[in-house]
Amino acid sequence: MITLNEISKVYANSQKRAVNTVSATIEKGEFFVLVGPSGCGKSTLLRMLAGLEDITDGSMYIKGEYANSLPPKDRHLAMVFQNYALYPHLTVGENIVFGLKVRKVKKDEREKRLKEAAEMVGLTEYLKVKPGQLSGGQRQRVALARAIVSQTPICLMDEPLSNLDAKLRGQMRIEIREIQQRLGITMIYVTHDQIEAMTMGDRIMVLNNGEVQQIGTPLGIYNEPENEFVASFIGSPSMNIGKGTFIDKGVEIGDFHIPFYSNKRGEVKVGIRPEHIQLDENGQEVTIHSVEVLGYESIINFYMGESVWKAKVSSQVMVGKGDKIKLAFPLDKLYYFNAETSERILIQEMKEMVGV
Amino acid sequence: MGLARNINQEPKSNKTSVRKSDLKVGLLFLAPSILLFSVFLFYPLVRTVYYSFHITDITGEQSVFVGMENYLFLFQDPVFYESLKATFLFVLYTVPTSIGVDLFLALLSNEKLKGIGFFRVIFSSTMGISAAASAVIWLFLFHPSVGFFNNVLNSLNLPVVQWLINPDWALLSVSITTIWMNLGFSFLILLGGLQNIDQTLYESAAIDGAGYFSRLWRITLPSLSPTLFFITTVTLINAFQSFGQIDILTGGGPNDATNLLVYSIYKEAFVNYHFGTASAQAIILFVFIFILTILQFKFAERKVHYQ
Amino acid sequence: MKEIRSKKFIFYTLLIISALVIFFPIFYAISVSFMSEGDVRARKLWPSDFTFSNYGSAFEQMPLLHYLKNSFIVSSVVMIGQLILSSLAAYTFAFLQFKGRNVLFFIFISTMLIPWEATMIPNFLMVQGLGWTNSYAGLTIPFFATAFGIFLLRQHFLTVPYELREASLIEGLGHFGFLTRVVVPYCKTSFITLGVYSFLTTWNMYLWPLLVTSDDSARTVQIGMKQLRSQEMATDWGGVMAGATIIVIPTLILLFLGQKQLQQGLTKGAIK
Repeated sequence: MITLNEISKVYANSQKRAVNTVSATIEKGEFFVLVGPSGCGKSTLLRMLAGLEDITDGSMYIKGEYANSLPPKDRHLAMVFQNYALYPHLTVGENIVFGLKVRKVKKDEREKRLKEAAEMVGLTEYLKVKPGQLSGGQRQRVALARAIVSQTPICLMDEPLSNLDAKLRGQMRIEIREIQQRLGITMIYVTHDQIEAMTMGDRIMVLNNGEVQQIGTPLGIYNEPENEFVASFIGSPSMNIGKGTFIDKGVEIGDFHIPFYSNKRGEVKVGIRPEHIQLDENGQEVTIHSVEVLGYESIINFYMGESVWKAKVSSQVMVGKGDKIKLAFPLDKLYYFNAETSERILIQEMKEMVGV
Repeated sequence: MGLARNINQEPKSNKTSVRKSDLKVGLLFLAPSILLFSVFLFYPLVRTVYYSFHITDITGEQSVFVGMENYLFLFQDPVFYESLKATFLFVLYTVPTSIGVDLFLALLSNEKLKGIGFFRVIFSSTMGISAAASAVIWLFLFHPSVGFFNNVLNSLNLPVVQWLINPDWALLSVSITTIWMNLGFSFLILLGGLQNIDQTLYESAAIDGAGYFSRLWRITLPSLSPTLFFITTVTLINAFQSFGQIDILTGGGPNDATNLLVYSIYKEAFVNYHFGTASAQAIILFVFIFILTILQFKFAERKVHYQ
Repeated sequence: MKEIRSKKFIFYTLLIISALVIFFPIFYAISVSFMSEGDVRARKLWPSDFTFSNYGSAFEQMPLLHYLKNSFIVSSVVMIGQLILSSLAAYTFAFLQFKGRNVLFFIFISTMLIPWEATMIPNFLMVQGLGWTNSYAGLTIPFFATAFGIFLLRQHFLTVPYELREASLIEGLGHFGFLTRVVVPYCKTSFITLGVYSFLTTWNMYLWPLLVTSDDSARTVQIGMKQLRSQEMATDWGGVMAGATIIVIPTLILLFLGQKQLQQGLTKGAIK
């Protein structure tokens, strides 16, 4: 549906590449998420897709057509903005059909689409109200309805939920996903929230500093991160990553010892997700920094060498600062990263590295 | 929804295509204004300068270059000096008084009193009265026999004043009329400025125990300084451009006592048809206003407190 | 408590005195307009017998209705012209980007520094040459371009969130569409301010109509006022005051209606 070939963006007064040679193919009907920290270039990329920003280098194809210089209105897409971009002087109904009016869609058709969209987002009673009188969540739905009535095959969303409170966000996530699937829209969704990315996306693109870190399915990225950035960005709380050193019988990291037979020297980064660490009578003893009991699970902050690591266990742990506790670090849940390049080193490579 | 955006922080794209189309649209949208400004402002300004260096006939067509002669003539012309003097006196009479009175009224009207809206309407009402109408009304008030002021003087057994006929009084009378006329506008602006002052400043002063005048001096006036500056500039420029009330009240007399610069230009050009000297006067006026405005800005840069 | 009450007393006293002093001329003018000739000569403050005859004579002495019509047409045309030209220019300076835009803006603003008197002689000769004397054209067209108006509108245009522009781009709106369907409604209050201000100042214009009209055909009401004055020098003050009252009614009404807007709008422009 959409193909990006080495897309780059450099702003007029700066050296830095806001977006650096990004390539991807987005399939029809896919819910494709662009995720990354602030300033990683995801919004810029989205805006280039929309035609609101020029493309410095590379080429973009929409439905097979070369689209670099296509103006926004010829790209047949809809966009939902972070601040909703509703026209304050128009009613909700008028806001929703505004684009249709501009495109001279006939009145009956407009009314029909308005009715359907309003029902889908649950705003049927609010059509005559002005946006100023609505809550954030309701305004968001107006923006959503506006995208729905356009009946464009592609929809772009730029952090639409970031101004809503947590509960509402959770609700809207489900609604948006449902509408997208029902209507078969190709959705490109930008967010900095990795939970949104994980729960909504068919595939995710993780970006950092304008560069693609990894593209894959949520679980795929979760299970097999390709570098340290992706590993620590996806998953909450973040993966614990520390520097370890090769010693005779393996890798030593803090007080922790991973048994490998190796004759390698030097450093390697080792990581494990908090949720994979287990309470185990036969495990390693660690000293506790603090504990956060969440009710159904607890997060244990403990010392690993100089740093503090987290373990997420599904029980109510009643210990405190300074206490000792025993944890197990399953070997098959460990991740290894190159100490210099931060790239993931797979077990096979690892075994080769250490000559097993 | 959304704050005022700094247009220079907006995403500047390399869009040469957009910039080109923006240029086309921009020039299209600006064309009428550019055309009108050029034809009715810039070109005439240049032409005025041209005329000031020439002597022309009634139609302005035939002209003889005379260099600085027009200006030199003016600098030795006693009538012109009277005019300048009258203008400066007029400005002196009207500008500080105007500002003082208007500020006084604005301060009064800023108080949270019941029915204050009524007073605000009254004070701003002169803005709806044109120069011509004001002049006619005051013409009547100043009338030597049936005018109100002389009535009052009579009933107090005081000598009557020839408000508009006595050269010693004429300028003053015109000044009073002008101050009254311009009340409404300045009042509204100053009131607006007062209302924009952050209330929390007053609240913290109240906690410190500051009295009315103390608050006035320390908070109100400094906070008002941008507005005061604006009003001073506008009042000053307006004073130099006064015409309508003079035409109706005194016609420039008696004995040129109220022959302010603009009136003088008008007479020279459209009664005497001396376009050359009239244009020279106009250029002199322009220079005055220009210098004044620049001076004002320089002064303001140092003294005005911007929040 | 006592301090507050005495403060209130002082303020009210000052307010009332000021209001009386300032409103007196207007009150007196209206009062005289309803007085008979005898009352005027007797220098009364209030008509002993209320009469409308002065108004009748005001309309008889000069083509007042015709002048009112002219003023109304001229003021409306200038108002509309200023609104259109200013919004187009303000739009350019607020939403479009191109090389030299800022230079052009600076040039536009600099026009505010040029006093109109420095251009009036050539302007008059030009208007005369074009045959625009005694015509609506000569009274209106030169005034359509106004830096003040452009500045005022631009300030407000800048507050339109850029996202609205982007959303409208995606929906297919061009510049003109965006201006008319989004920017104008969004900035309605500034348009009202500019409109009121425009109408008022044009209605009150004196020197230019004086120059440009030599007969009654396009003469405006302010110049009509001057006619009245020269004709009625010693006698019909009642009629003159009636004329003055009639002239100020439209502007006073406009002022009362648009006062809040005007005050806020002008202040915004003043404080930046």
